[in-house]
Amino acid sequence: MNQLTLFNKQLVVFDAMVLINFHGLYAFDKLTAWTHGELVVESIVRGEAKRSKAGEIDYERYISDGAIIEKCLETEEHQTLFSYYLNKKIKGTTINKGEAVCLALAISEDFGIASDEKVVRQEFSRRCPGNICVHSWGIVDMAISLNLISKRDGDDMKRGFYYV
Amino acid sequence: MSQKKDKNDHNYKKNIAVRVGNRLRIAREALDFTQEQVSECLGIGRPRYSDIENGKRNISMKDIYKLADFFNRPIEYFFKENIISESGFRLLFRRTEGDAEIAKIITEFEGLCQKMHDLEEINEIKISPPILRNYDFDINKLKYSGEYYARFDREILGLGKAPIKDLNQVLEEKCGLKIFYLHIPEESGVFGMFTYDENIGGCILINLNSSYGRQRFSLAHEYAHFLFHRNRIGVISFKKDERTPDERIADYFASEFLMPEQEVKDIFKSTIKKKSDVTAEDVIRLADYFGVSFTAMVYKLNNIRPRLINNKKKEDFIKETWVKKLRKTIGMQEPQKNKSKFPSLYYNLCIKAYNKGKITTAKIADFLEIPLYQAMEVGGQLRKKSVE
Repeated sequence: MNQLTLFNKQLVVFDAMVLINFHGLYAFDKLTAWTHGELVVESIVRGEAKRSKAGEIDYERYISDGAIIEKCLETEEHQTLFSYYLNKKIKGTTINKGEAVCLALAISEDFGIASDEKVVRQEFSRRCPGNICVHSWGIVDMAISLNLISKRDGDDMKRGFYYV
Repeated sequence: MSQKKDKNDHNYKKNIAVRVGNRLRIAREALDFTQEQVSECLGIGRPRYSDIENGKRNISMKDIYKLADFFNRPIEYFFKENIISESGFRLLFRRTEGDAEIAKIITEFEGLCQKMHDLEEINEIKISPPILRNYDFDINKLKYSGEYYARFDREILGLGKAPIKDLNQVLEEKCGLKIFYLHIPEESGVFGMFTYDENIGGCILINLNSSYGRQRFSLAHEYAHFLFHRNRIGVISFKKDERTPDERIADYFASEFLMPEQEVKDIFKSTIKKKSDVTAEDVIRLADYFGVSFTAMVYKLNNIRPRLINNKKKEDFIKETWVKKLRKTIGMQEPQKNKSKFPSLYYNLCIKAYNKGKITTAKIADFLEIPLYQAMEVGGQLRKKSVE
């Protein structure tokens, strides 16, 4: 299937809040269609984003059809970065294990990142300038600009997000 | 320059391997597992696992996830640079004598104390006990000493004679204690536990399953351990030990601390005309007034000299199993027990940290042990409030 996707075949590590935001608006199908084969979920993040207010998130379905790529921290570099971010405050803010996982994976693999925490995005941009770094709103804006969703529907979606 | 960086990198990685190995060892020993058992869980040989514990070999993240489940510890436990001293907890683990269920509860208690400590650190505050007094006592005068120090302590804390309405708040705010509540199975015979460390102060665990009166009595009892036995670092209050001097003095203290003799006598005199007329209903009213269980009140009335109820009446009352039914008949609801596992201070520190941007929304979910989507709602409400 040769469809238009948001990140131009670049892999992007998704943080739990972004996944929950889209699923909570019954827009998970849309998100995975827009980012087919580009959306990376680490297993700790998957554990954190098990459900949204719309119910349980069925990752298996998306993983088996290739829409979501599940990854695990594996290498020594992953582990070193993960440990670093668990113990270090970013601009005075303590982040959680899921956020540390996203940073560790995205930085060491040179992927992009999708996170609704500002400090996480700031840290990622500092470490990997030029890589994709978006939040839930940004994803919708990209989808609007690619005509994957109408502006009106996109704006409605943005209003429905919990938090960016 | 690059050689120096490589060396630093190498040292950092080595430090992580040593730290993870050390934590694996502590977690394994706490639950009384052998290296063979753990290596079997990972499907590797014992020598290889031994190398991992000794920091000589790296362990994969997949295996760490597996062992975090196996040891009932969060992933962070294996990586965090600063964790609370394990000495008090090690003592508690030793006292379980291989009871896996209790060991699991202690692991959770340790996790809660660690989180409280993290919140203090994040908020840059340190809640420590006020000046610690020495409560020496004569082992042959347990009742006298327990009751004497209870009256003394009430005075120091400025509690007067009236019943203590919010015991949790008093002990948290005036004594710097950290009080947590967890479900402890009835059959374990554990009422509560206590641990003390200079860095984290006194931490108490109370059974979330107990009734309101029982919870309060256990809390006063564990507070007594903090006053009398904090040098022991860790104490578990088992039912089977209730006749030991340590447990007895803690009971005498708790009884007088919650039900000061003089106040009990005064209330008794003003509400009950003749001792022979005392009914179960009267005892329930008195128990609720002082915030203790029916049984604790019966014992107190029998222990006061001259006795306010005689031995026969005491036995009759203790035997009664219809107290709950009687409460219903006379329309006196049982007081609401504590239902939250965290102290109020814990919530306050969590909210404060979030409002000041010191923790992320996902970190709130970790601290409050709630699903992330709920934490996102909590975060939204907190932000709305702070804007208003």
